Amino acid sequence: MFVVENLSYKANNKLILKNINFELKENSITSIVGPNGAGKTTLIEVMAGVKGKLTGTTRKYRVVYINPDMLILNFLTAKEYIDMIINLNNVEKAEYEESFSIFESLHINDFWDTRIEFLSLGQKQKLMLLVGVLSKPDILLFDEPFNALDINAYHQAIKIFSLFKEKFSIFFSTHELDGLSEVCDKIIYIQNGAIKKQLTKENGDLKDDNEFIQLFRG
Amino acid sequence: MCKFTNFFIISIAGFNFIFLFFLINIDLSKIPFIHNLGYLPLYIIYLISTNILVNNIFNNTSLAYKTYHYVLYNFHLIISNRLAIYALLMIQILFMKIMFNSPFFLPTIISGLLITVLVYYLDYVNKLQNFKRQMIVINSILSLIVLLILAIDNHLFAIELQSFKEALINISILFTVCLFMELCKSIYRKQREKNIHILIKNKLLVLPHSYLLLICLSLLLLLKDNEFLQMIHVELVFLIFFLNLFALKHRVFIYFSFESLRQFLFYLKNINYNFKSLLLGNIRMFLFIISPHFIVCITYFILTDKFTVISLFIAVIIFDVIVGLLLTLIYPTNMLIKDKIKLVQNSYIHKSTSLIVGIVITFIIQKIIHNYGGINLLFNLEISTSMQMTLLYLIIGFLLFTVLISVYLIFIWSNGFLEKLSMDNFKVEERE
Repeated sequence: MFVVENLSYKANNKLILKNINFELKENSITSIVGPNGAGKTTLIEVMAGVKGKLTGTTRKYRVVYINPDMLILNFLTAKEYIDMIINLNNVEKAEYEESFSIFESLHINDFWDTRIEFLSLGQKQKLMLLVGVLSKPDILLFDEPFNALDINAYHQAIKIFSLFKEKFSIFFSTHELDGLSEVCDKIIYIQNGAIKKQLTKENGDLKDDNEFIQLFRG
Repeated sequence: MCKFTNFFIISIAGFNFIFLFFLINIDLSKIPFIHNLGYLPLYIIYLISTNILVNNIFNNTSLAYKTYHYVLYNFHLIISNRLAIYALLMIQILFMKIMFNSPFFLPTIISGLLITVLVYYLDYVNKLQNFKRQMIVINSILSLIVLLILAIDNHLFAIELQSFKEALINISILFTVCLFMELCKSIYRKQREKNIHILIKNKLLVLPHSYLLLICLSLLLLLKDNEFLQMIHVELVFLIFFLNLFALKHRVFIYFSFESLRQFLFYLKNINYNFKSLLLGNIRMFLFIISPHFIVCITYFILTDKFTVISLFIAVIIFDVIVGLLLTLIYPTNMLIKDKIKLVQNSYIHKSTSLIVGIVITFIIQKIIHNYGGINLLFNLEISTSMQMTLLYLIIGFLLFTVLISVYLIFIWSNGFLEKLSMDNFKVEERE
């Protein structure tokens, strides 16, 4: 189990994250929601080791953080980029083919031979989802994976998350709240750098989306 | 389109056709003015007009067809620039007629052959956008060759015809070696490596080859009867190679820095990528990029029977790479700002090459002083003297020492690099 304990993070003499505590179960999907500037991206970046120091993890997990900013090799085509990711992570051909067939529902083929610099943000997000899956993570971190996806692609992406849950845990931040209670095992509500509420399916807190949507109103 | 415009276009087309017919059939050599003019002013006019027209053609042509086949691209080029192409053709015919029996005919043939080879080569590497640049390079080579012929024709250099032929054969060998190496590079580029840097460096592998080295070596081969140049030609090859290397390092090292990967670095950190292998891969890659340059130089030494210098030359190149690496490791760049990377690389990576260039210049100066000032010679790269062997042993000894330190530093660096790799450092430096 991936445990975050007493995590605080300061930047520019300002406390961004305040005493964060939560745990991620294996093969689970957790989402972090909250208003803009609540500290969602910072929390993900600290968990990924991109900034600050993570406290509380007892076992070393392969935590992979995916965001479209890492597409700096924009002279490559989508296919070349995925080839590189496959090589870097020693992905077997069968494994890749299985993952790719699942991603066909996101119409990855439509921009397979297009150079990354010419992809739209939505297409980049789809590509990054595939990169995340092929990176053999124990925990996949994603900052706003559904940003710029159309409604069909959003629902397909949620379905894909549910399918890959058997292989690894997924932790993501989002502003898309529709259908989250269905796919997530846990939803963490964060505000002003502190966790205000954690809703879990296990405890019966996540019967429908209204359970956490009212937190925003509240 | 008005009637006048139509009439104007038809008139120009008709005049051009008659002019072409006139040019092909007239015996220009019988005109006393052209016959007495001499080659130099004519050639200057030729070069200027050719260069202006070539630049004009390529500047005004959209590259809309560049993704298609080169034949289509060339058709597009010719049709959209028909007047300029026609003028170019006129100039070529005019000069071929004037200079048919002169040494100028040779460069015209060479230029035609080079352009043909280039079109096929560029099609192979799919880099038609480099065409304009390559055309300018060809024109420059052509200018140099013809100016040299002019110099010979005017007895500026006392070169016998036999040695001139030998020099031309040697130059063609140099060019063939260079083309072969470029072909190897293109084949290598098509292969995929597990090294992520190979993908960035694919860009480097298609960089056009620097012709400076080839032109300088060709000149040295042509002027091998010149006593002064003959005296310092080995040192000059060292100097030209390392100056070229200096320029190459300046051009490519931004692609070799880890910091150029920016956000992707954190992904590599997440998947526990082996940065040590990336570092060693970088060295391999750099050696590969410079390989056409040093193989051309080695071919030059073989052609001029300077076999003893080859081992020293290779040792000095390895020395440069290892010392360059060592200096980079001593002053690691752990920041992510592009300008700062450039600053650090310019300060440290080039130091080893600057050192070698400095030493070679000292050799040249002391040789000139020895020859003209009567002072005893201290060092000589050319002859296998005990001093040269001492120099070789010294370099090899120093190399072993630096390799040991480098291995130790790579070990420290590969552990420390990941620990230091944090967005916090980046942000702090950005504020500064």
